[in-house]
Amino acid sequence: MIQIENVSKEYQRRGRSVTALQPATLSVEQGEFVSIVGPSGSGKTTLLSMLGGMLAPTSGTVMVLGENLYQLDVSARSRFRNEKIGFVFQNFNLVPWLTALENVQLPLTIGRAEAAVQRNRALELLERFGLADRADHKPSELSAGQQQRVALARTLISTPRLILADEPTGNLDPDSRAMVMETLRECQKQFDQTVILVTHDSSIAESAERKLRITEGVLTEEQPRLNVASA
Amino acid sequence: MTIRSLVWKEILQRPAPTVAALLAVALGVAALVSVQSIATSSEAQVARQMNELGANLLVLPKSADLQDYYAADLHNETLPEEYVTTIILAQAVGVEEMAPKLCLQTTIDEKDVTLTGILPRTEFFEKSSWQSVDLMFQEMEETQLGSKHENCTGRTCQLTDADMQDLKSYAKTRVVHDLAPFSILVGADAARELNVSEEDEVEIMGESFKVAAVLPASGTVDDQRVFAHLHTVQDLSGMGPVVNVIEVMGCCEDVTDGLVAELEELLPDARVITISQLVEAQVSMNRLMSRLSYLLFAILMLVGGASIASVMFANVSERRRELGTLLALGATPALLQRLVLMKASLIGVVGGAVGLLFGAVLAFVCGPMVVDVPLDLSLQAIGWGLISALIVAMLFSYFPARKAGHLDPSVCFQDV
Amino acid sequence: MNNFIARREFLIWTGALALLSGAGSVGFAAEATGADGVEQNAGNDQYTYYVFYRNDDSLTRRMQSAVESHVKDHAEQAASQKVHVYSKDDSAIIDKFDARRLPLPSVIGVAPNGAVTCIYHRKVSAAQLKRSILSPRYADVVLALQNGKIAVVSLLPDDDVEPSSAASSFLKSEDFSDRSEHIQVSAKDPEERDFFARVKVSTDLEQPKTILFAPPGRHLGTFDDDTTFDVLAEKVHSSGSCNCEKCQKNQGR
Repeated sequence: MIQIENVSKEYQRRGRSVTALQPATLSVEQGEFVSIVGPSGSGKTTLLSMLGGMLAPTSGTVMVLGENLYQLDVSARSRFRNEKIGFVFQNFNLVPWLTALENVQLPLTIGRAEAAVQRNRALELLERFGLADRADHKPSELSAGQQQRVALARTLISTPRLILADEPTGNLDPDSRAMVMETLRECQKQFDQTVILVTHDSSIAESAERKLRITEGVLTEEQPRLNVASA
Repeated sequence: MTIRSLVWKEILQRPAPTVAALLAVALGVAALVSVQSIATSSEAQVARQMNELGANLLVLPKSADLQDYYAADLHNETLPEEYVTTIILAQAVGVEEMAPKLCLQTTIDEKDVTLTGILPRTEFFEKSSWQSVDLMFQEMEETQLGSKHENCTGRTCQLTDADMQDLKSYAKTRVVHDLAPFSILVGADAARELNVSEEDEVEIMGESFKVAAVLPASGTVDDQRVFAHLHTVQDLSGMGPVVNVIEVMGCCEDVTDGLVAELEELLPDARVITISQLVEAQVSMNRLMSRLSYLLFAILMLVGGASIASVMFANVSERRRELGTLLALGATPALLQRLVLMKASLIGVVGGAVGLLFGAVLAFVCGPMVVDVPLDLSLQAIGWGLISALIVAMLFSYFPARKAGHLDPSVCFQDV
Repeated sequence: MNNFIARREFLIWTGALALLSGAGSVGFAAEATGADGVEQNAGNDQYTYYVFYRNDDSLTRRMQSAVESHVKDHAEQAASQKVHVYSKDDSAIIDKFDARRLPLPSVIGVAPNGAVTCIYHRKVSAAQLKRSILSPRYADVVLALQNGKIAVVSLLPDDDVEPSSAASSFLKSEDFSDRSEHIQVSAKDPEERDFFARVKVSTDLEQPKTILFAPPGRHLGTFDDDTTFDVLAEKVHSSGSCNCEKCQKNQGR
């Protein structure tokens, strides 16, 4: 599913070279639930961005679903992201001037799906997340938990094969946190989606099938794969 | 939802900066459309005057000031009426008609009117016939006389005496065949204001006049006038045999130059001017207006463009995370550029349209102060305005659009 | 199409139309108002030259002297009168010629038949004054023109020769009978030699000739005896001197 080989990332900052990620190799199978932990600024988001096709590595290759992401041109990579990858953000990243329904529709709007398909699919997901009566509300009119559910619906609308979540529960109350995690797990099971989740929450990290740690740009595996091969 | 509706919703969400940029563009287009329309209409008026009156000359007192052909007699300077006979006796080639006039400001039923004395043709045709012997002599001796002018198709050449016997035709021909001493012709507007109709009796300066005809509207100051026989007006005014102006109607423009020289020599105490001289000031004014409007347009469009650029840069900066999220959701950089350019083009198109409307209103309100013809919008200015507004909006949004296209998508992870 | 304008526009074209259509009101000579001098001199078969003036300046004196010299040369035929335009005694003649509206000084010559044979202002030459003395029939032609008529002149080899058939038809035709006047001139009449000289026709002619003049002084043509009525009619129609319905229609009026 995901195969990264000797991937590293260096930035140039004020004339100096800063290493965000040391050369790392990792493979993730389809349907795995992987957590990544590590202190702030250790390179978690950098790794997530590279897996999402949004940040080209300085060296190494990133293969996702058999595609060498950074050998695709920009628009092909965008299309790939639109169809195969979903993001969940700590701050939800909802478009403030669109309604809940419109926010959920966005990936399909970008992918030029028919209006009726966009609408029906979005309504279906909002209903699933118990937000059917909030379809016409703007994000500012929703609670944090509701906003994250809208964001989750947006992620799931295109049924991505890979979900990349960047501290999705960081700004949530315990109930909402539980609901989000439950949803991610359901998706993983129901649709065989791969979930890679960056978190500071050790209990969430521990509940993952695999736990990776990044410290000062060095990727290590703390909790190896559990019977993945045989699963 | 479509990409277009996405743009529209974003504009509605943040209307103020968009409206500000739009207004800057609208102002430029409004200035262009209004000034150009007025200038174009004024040009059309000049062209119409040249077409209708191009072959005509005005003989005026040297000191008379002149702004408008139709109001050439509205001054207090006078010429002796004998100049009319002098012109007749000179047998100038190309003189078709003459219309000497004298204006007298008076009141009818306590309403101010301009009583204009006009000389019917019968008065000076008699004098022209006194030259029969000379004419016959010249016809027999100099058969080639005037041959240079034989292809004339001038306007007044086509008028017949029968045309002019209808008093109402004065509005068009500016000449009448005959007019009784105490008959008057009343302009369309004056008739309405004085509430008179044909055959009515009207008292002017203690004398009773009969309304011989109410003239059809001509769209000139003549509509507000009352016309009587020149000699009657001279008697009423007590000024003697004088006139304010002699309108000399040439048969075609070919003769105008020669005629001016001939009349200037014949009447050294008078000023002879052509229609083209009269409209010269108007023509240069039109040109100046036209050029200034383009300059103003260019400046306002630059201001508008800068305003659009600033609004769009600010917009892209403000929406960094939003645009980054769109990238994360699969939008291509080209799509983000398109979002910016579509918004810019909407500003350009709507700004242009608002400017066009505003300019049209401005032209219709201010136009009549400059020209007295029905105002036509300048299609060329509308075309230039709309296209330029669009181009300027797109051009000045190029860099903001590029900036959007080059956004680092990982900005969506940042807490901005 | 408008080659008629190739002439002295104002006098010929508009004058012609005005006179043709509004004849009665225009030809002052026909009205013969009570201007004593005109009547008196007309009765004497004399030409009268009125010198109208406002200031007795050098221009007036020069003009007066030219007129007096001319009158002296034609003592039997001519007389002159100097008229101040504000003279109450001469108000009839002043009003008749609207003299206060003439450029001054002006001289107006009037033939015994009442036709005005000259008008000049500021200056006049002996040749111009001489030209204003006309043969009797020529004066009739001028009077006809000033009355707004087309003058149909028949130049005849002798008194007893009939005018051309074209001329006769023209004078009887529906289009022209009311608007034309016939003047017959015999080559044998010694008084009319000057007429023949002016129209450039030899007095030795064998067949009658027809000349058409239109107001106020247009020469439409000199035609031989074999010319047909149609040719004459066409000449008048196409000259622009005609204001008949047909011409108006043809000219798209």
